[in-house]
Amino acid sequence: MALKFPSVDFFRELARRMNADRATFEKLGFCDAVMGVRVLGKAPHLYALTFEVYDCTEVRELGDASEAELDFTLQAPAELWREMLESIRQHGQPAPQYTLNSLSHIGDRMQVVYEDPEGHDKLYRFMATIQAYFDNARDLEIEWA
Amino acid sequence: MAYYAPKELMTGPELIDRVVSIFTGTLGLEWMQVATERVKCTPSHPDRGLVFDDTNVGSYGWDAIPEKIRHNFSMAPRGAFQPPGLPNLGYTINRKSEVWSDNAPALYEESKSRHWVPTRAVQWAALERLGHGEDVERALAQLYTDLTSMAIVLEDVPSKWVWRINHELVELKSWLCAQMFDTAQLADVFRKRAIAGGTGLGRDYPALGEMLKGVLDSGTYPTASMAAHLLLGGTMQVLLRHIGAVSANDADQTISRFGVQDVSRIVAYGTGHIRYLLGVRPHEKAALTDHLTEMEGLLIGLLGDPLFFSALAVVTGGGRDQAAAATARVVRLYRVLCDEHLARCRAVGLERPEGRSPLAAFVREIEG
Repeated sequence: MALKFPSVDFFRELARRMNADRATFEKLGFCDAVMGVRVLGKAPHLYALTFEVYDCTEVRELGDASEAELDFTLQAPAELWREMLESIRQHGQPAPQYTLNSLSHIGDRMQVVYEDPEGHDKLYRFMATIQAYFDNARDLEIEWA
Repeated sequence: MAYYAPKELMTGPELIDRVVSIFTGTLGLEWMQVATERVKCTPSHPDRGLVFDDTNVGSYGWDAIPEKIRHNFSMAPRGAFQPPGLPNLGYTINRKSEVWSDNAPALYEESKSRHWVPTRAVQWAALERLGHGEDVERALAQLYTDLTSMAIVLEDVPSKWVWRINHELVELKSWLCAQMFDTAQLADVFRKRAIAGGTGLGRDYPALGEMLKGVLDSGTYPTASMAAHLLLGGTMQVLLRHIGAVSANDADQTISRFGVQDVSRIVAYGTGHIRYLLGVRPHEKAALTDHLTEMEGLLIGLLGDPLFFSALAVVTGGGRDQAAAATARVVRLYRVLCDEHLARCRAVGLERPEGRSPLAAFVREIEG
């Protein structure tokens, strides 16, 4: 069954796959961060993903960033999120130009929004885990909103 | 300075008599009567195991460390019973705020948990088909050579100070040792990557050496921490992110992703440390700002060096012929480095009046 992107169900499915794949995420190590995902477009969405130890423990949609203590938020237009996810689906992992690092590094395609630099640096401290979380979309059927 | 114990134990009859007495069955178990605190510690999260945070209780916890440590100059770990007559180890760092960061215990646990093994994790075979030309490989090898020197300095800085730090700060010392191991491994993988790519290591040059010397020669631990963990660590983080963004090679992708993680823990410690220090001792700001300004000047020397800038332009453009057209993107990279550095400075309390950051002035100048 196809999952709609963006949606809470989409991110919860990635979380379910992460939590089921204990071997991969234990090897990557502890990950403790609350991450925002903002999908820009005609109908913008903001999601909060809570990572704790080896799991993604909570996914919820926010009306506003103030509703959660987000360490950082990755923000990009819906089309760019789609290109990234299509790349993951095509190769099993993103092509180098579509990794979260490549997309967000300079800030011209995907922005990293943060209030506290310690929160910002969590993106880089846990980059391998967060990338692996999104890589779980590799064989997901997606219905684009 | 030589150290001589107060007693000559080898020839003292007292010790020999005691050992003979033990051999004949008089064990002397008075040491079992020790008035140390009894506490219960269990993992707060079963998947995490028993971490430092779970033993932050009572007299064993770091919350109990006073700002000025006056009660323990021995090797006793915090919370151990200290009988009279223990030697003074001569620690010179006995102030908690001089070294402490509230995130240090968790960063130590994170370092162990997120440890990676580059010898096996990096797809070394990918270097047989680089996916880029000789010019780019030469420039990447130069950047990896630079990163090797930087990583060794991030290894050297804690080693210069850790033995001077009072044992009461055991979690902090453990973190600094983890940092030393992480950076030793980073120096190892950067150097191997440069060699294995086929062009060999690049060259050393004065601008890089001067900046690293400035970091290493910082006269106090707080200035060294600010220079190494905030400024140098932040620079390495941006460089590694950039390599990940411009090289499609699988080996570079892995080194970038995991190298960024290791370096970012160090940046997180530096951020937490200076924030904690200035929270307790705000008057330290003047000395730190002075050193920060000097260090930014040395960083400008590196960023403006033709070797460093052109190596970045070659890898960013994808070749020697495309390098000139890529200079604007290198300047953009410097803008990112500068903005993130200044954001950390502001967050920890090292904000300066407009126009007082040499790095910001330099980046504005080259942006035209």
